[in-house]
Amino acid sequence: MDLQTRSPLVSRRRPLLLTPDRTLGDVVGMLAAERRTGAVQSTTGVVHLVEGAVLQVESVAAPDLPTLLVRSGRLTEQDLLDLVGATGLPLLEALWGSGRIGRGVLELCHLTTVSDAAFLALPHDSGPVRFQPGVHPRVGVIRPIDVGTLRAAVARRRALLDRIWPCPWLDSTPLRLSTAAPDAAGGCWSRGQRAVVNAADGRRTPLDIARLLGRPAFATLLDVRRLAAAGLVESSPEVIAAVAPAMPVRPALSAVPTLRPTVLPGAMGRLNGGSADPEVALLIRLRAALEARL
Amino acid sequence: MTGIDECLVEAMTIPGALGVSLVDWTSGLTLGAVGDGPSGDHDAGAADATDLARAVIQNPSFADPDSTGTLAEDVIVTSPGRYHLLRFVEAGFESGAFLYLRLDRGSANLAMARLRLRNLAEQLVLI
Repeated sequence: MDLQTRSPLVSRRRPLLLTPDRTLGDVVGMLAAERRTGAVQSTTGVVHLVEGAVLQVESVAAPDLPTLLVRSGRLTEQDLLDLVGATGLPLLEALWGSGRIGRGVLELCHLTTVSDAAFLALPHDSGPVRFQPGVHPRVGVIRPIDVGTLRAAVARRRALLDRIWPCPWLDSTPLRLSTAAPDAAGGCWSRGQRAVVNAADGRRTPLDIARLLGRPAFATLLDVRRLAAAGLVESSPEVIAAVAPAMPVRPALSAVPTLRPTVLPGAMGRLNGGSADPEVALLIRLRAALEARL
Repeated sequence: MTGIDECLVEAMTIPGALGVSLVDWTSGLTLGAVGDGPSGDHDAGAADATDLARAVIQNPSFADPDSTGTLAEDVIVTSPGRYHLLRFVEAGFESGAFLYLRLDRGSANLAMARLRLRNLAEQLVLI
């Protein structure tokens, strides 16, 4: 498939960089200092660089652009399928080139996903990293962002969360309603916060909930911290016992492998077998998120 | 079809406009900027404006009492020589973005500037 030949997500031939004890942000910072151009791929995400500046960030744990557009009510899932069918292009290219969605919406939504992915991917241990020189994303490029600026933005987001409720393990452990929770109906809670409360079943992590609701991960984490500060939600006690004592300052995103898209029975029919194609995987993820919410 | 840059360029045609930027209040990241920033630095201005935007958007006292999530629309700061106008962008996907427009008080009409910035914020996220 087209995307498989150019996406760093599926590259298997590039040299592996061993970067012990470094975050993906550290690795990207080093490559940026050398003004490198290409795709940096780690277990937590992919960062596209052009002459040392960040063009794009992708994270497997962050809802993507089509998901956000559908959940915001701007498009239906059928619209996306029609768009791909009508243009014969991969979904993202079809979206950017069709004129079906306003340029401002696309740009803002894209920047939202970049910020979201950077927040999730950059601060965590990179693990083995592959660097694919010269690779450019073909869509969604708006303007390069300085790596230091982006990392500072990520740090400000982290600080914002911790000012609200300093429990970083909340982000990646299953969330449930507090046993002594006050009545959520009595508070002045937004629609998004109520949705988080309804989705907190003791099994889903906040990142699971973000994908379930099709919301940006960071916006969901903000609501989780606010709800936790108000005593409405908490991590499952056994998870706190297991995780909290050894919690590092910047927790590894250990939940990422379990956050890969779950294909529900019957979802996308024939497309299930071809999920190695990122384009198809994206559609499946979209469908799964929508079905899971029904 | 208004993109971010076109929106910002249009904002600079508002009488008295000195500089305008699109900022993410959750991170302080400048998503786009045209004209001059405060003291010539859009990023520093964005960080300061972010503190202001955050204080307003996160405080339910500034939301309508009967709302379920509709928070403040804009923030206005006046000084003897400047108007500072912040307009939250309602995109439907929680972008956290707001427009930050600085105006010369001597040549700006605050009411008109607010209306035009509101319209631009709406145009930016039109399908």
